[in-house]
Amino acid sequence: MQAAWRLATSNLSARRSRTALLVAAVTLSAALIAAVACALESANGAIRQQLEGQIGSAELRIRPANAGGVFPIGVMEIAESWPETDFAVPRARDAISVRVPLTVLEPDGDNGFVRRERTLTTDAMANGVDLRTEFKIRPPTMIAGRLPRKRGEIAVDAKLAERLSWVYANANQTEEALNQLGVNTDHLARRAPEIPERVTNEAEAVATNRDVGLRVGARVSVLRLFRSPVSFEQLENKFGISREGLTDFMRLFRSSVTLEVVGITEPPPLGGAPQVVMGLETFYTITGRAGVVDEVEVHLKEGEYDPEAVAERHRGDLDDSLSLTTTEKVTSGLEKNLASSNIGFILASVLATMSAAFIIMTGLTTGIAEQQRGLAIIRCIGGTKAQLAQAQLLTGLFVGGTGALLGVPLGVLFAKVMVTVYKDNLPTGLRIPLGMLVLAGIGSVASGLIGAAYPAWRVSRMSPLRALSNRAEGVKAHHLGVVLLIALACLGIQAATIGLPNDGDTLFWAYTTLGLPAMFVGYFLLCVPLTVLIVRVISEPLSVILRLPPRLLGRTVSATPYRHGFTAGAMMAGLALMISIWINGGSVLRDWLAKIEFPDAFVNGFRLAVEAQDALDALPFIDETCAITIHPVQTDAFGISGLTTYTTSFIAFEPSEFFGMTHLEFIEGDEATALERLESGGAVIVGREFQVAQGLGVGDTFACSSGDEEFAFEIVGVVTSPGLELASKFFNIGEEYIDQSIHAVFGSRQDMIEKFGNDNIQLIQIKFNEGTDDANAMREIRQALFGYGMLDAGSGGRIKQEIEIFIRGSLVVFSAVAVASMIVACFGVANLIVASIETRRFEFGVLRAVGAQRGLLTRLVLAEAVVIGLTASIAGTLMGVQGAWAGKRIYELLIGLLMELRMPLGPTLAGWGAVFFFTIGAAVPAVIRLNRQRTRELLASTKG
Amino acid sequence: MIRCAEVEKTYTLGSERVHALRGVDLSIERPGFYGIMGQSGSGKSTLLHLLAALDRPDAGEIEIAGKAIHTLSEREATAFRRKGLGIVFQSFNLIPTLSASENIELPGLLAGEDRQWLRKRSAELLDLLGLGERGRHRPEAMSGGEQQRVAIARALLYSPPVLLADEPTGNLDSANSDRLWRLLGKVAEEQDITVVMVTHEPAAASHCERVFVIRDGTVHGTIETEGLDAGGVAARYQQFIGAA
Repeated sequence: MQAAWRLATSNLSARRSRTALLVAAVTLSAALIAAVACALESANGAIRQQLEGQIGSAELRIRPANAGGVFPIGVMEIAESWPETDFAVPRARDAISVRVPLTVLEPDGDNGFVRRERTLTTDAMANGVDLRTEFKIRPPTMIAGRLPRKRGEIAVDAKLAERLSWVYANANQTEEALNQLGVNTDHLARRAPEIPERVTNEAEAVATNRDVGLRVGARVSVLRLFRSPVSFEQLENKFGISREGLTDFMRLFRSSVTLEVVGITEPPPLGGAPQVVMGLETFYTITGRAGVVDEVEVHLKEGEYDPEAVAERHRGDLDDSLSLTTTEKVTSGLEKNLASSNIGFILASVLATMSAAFIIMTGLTTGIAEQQRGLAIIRCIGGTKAQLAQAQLLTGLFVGGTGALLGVPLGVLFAKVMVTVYKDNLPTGLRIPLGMLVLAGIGSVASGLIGAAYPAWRVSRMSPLRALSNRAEGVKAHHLGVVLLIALACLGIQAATIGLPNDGDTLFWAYTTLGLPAMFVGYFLLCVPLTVLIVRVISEPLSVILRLPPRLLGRTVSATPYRHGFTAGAMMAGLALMISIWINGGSVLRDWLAKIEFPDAFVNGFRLAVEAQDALDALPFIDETCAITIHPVQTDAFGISGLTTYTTSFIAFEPSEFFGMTHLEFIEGDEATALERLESGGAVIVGREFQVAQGLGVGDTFACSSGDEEFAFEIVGVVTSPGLELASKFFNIGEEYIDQSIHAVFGSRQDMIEKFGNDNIQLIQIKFNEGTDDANAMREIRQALFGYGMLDAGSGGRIKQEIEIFIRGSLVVFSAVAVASMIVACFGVANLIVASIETRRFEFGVLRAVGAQRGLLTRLVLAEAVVIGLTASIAGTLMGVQGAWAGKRIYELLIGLLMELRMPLGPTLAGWGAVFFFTIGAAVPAVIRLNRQRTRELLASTKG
Repeated sequence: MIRCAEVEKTYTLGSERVHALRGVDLSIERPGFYGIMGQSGSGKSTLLHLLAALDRPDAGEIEIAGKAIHTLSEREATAFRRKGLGIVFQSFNLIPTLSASENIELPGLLAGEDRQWLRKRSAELLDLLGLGERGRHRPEAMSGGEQQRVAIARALLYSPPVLLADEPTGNLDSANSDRLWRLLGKVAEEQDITVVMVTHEPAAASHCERVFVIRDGTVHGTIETEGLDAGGVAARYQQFIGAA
């Protein structure tokens, strides 16, 4: 081993620049994996912190069995009486409207700007808590002030404070204003600016107003919400009081409560509704809902009890309408969902590792050709095959190991910079996933060993006598044929892993472990015959264009098709990634988002008051409204076992109203029959994804569970995925991360109430009259619903637009990864071109000796780079398309999304441009070095 | 010391079969400086490769220092080359990435020898061959003659009983060539080993004590060089060649 190590190190140190290029390629590859791992962990950390902030540190939780319900606070005393209990924490939640008076500078005709009083309002989620115990299990991070201590005090989160600011209000709640939110919350810790009576300068007025907003010490008016103690149905049935009559009556007594803001807390990192925290008494004053809570959390005595056993022991102590669960169940679900985001990491890591392995393999194989004589001499003087093979493996190990040692910290550093730049979105800072970083390091070392395996095998088969011969071995046509067959076989394996499985699980794992590597190897090998084909086609015209002697380019490339082909192979991966991403991303935009029909507007709330719908109906520009309840149910219809678990949204509506307003395209069944069956109960209609992924259709049974109960519904229609489902997700990004909810099942509210016991309204969809101005309508809706528990309102068009911006943004981010992959390959290509020039120095010397100018050598090398670039572009495009087809099948079987693949012309052209730029750019330094050498030096290069 | 009996070797070049050796009989009984002469394509290099255990004969027997090398496996042949004999090639025979000392030490390194012993031995050999100050230099910084002397030093690392040289002065000028031939003669005498040099130059052959003339794949005769200068050797050689 000592001899092999000496051979490896002497070889590496003698070609320092090329060793550096190889190490740089692996370093960047490892850095890419490490950076993605850290970014993922940091993002997950932020999410975990947010969710743990919601879940808290308590071990047990009491909630109503019927989602959305409330229960008497007296239940807390039962929990406190259990011997295992340390303390119990109650929590009540509801939506509120908050109004704050602000002093701002406003234009006063031609007289500059004068001081005026303005009022801003917005909606938020109120959290009524026990001020003595709440912050023990869920301590918030303060930006300014303190936590509330007594009645009449509240703490608001930064998101709410920013919404109640001049910047937000003045931008008219546009996207520009939304983008400003959360960018910088430092100003919230400062005192509100002194507003002068008058200023003449507009810039000064704008600068002064920029800091105007809600601050600690402000007194806000919180509108007391209407809340009926019993349902409208009960009132009507038992007391004969109509819904309309009661609503009109209660409006007379609506009044606001004035509270003092004593603190501003960090906002939830994932978005979601603005939050306000206050004591339970204050909460009851605002909501008029005294003596009830939404949940009680139970903190057990330190380390003494098994929460699951405690829950089991005390379930019987509680009323049947309450559920007692361990919070670990929630967190384990969270961990599972967070783990599912590792799928992309796994695929990206496999790709990056293989890419680096191929670069190393090509570099070392070229090195063998270059050192053939030296290796033969070593064999002649007693070096064994094993020693030469070991030297190659140790070279690979050194390159991979050094790449890991440099790349992993570099990736962490890069992630640190990114986390610092986006610190507002990632408040938990940089999280370093040691396990993943070790994997990234192992991946790099593995890429070195995998990359060195083929050169090691080749060198161990080298005959010393043949290697000593000066005769160059020609490329055998049948060898190229064998390479082509192996390549096609690999591509066939990928096609089989994608085309044959009929379930998502098998498809995903078969593709990740076999299909993807086989496709990679297949296209890598395919580049060799493709290079021969391409050079045959373009060598003559290219020679004419670049004024090269006839046949020189063709013969040069044809003599070393493996070297040129493998170089192209190293370059193709980034382009393939880019094309694949844009084909799939474009399909998502075109086939999914573009076909979704949104109602004109949505209103979202925690428990929307029923009269909110009446208030909307009273607006002149509104044609129709439809109240909707969205209830999460568990189903095993989708996902990858062990990595993902899915919750389906059971979307409940009054069938006739909903059908009158929402266009559903029936793929199976028809609207009339579905309507009739839905109204009679026990039936649902499902999204097309169920049919695609699970083969479920009309007449089949859809099984789901809610709490501990199982339910079965007959499917009476299969419809295309409507925008309603998407809109509900848009308003609940944070919760979506817990639930990982996809696809909807549509049923009647009657079933929802009877089976799931949930009669809340979370969403109202709105249809405008013809010709209604979208912006004005949204403003009026927000004003009309002030005080009705609305958390947000969105125009259908804007939601769609923002989702599109998000998807396009994601595509750009992934394209950056693809370009980074091309840069990684660029170092490999540079190494190969340098090696290629080194092995042909004598040939170049002869060309110069017989009269070739330096420019001719430059043009020859650049022409070879063009051939490599063209091969890489064609192979990368084909691989990208095949990869996109795999993506299409994965989407289809895992989440049921049907997509039509279409080539994205712009990104493809950009990718081709990048490939040519990087390939030719990689050749330039080597060409410059070549041109600096004198003919005599080039001719002397064969003497060793 | 060296014995070849009825050695045959055939190659296939393209579609053509070439009988490189057609029953070579050759015997060297005692240490000394010997030559193998022949025209291009006569089979002299093929014979050297067989003697070096780089290839195996199709038929016949080859013994070196009592070892039947025609029966050796690939692994045994490699081990034999490491310590049983030394080889010097025409050119490109040093590893360009290693210094002169490291090139000399390389066979020992491959055998897992003690590094201190290797350093001491390479220093001795560098001194012996007049390269005492050149140990740290890489081949590219040395003249052709110096490189070839380093190659000889490497071949002598284990003091093998046999040293084979394949046209070692093919890339040297006449002054350096003459110096090298004398050096090989001196090494054979002082180290008490058998040096076999393949050459086509009478001037080189004149330094040997006996020359085997190869023609058409067989040993056509021997030239005892005692008392002959280059011209004399050339004349005797022409007699063998001309007799064809």
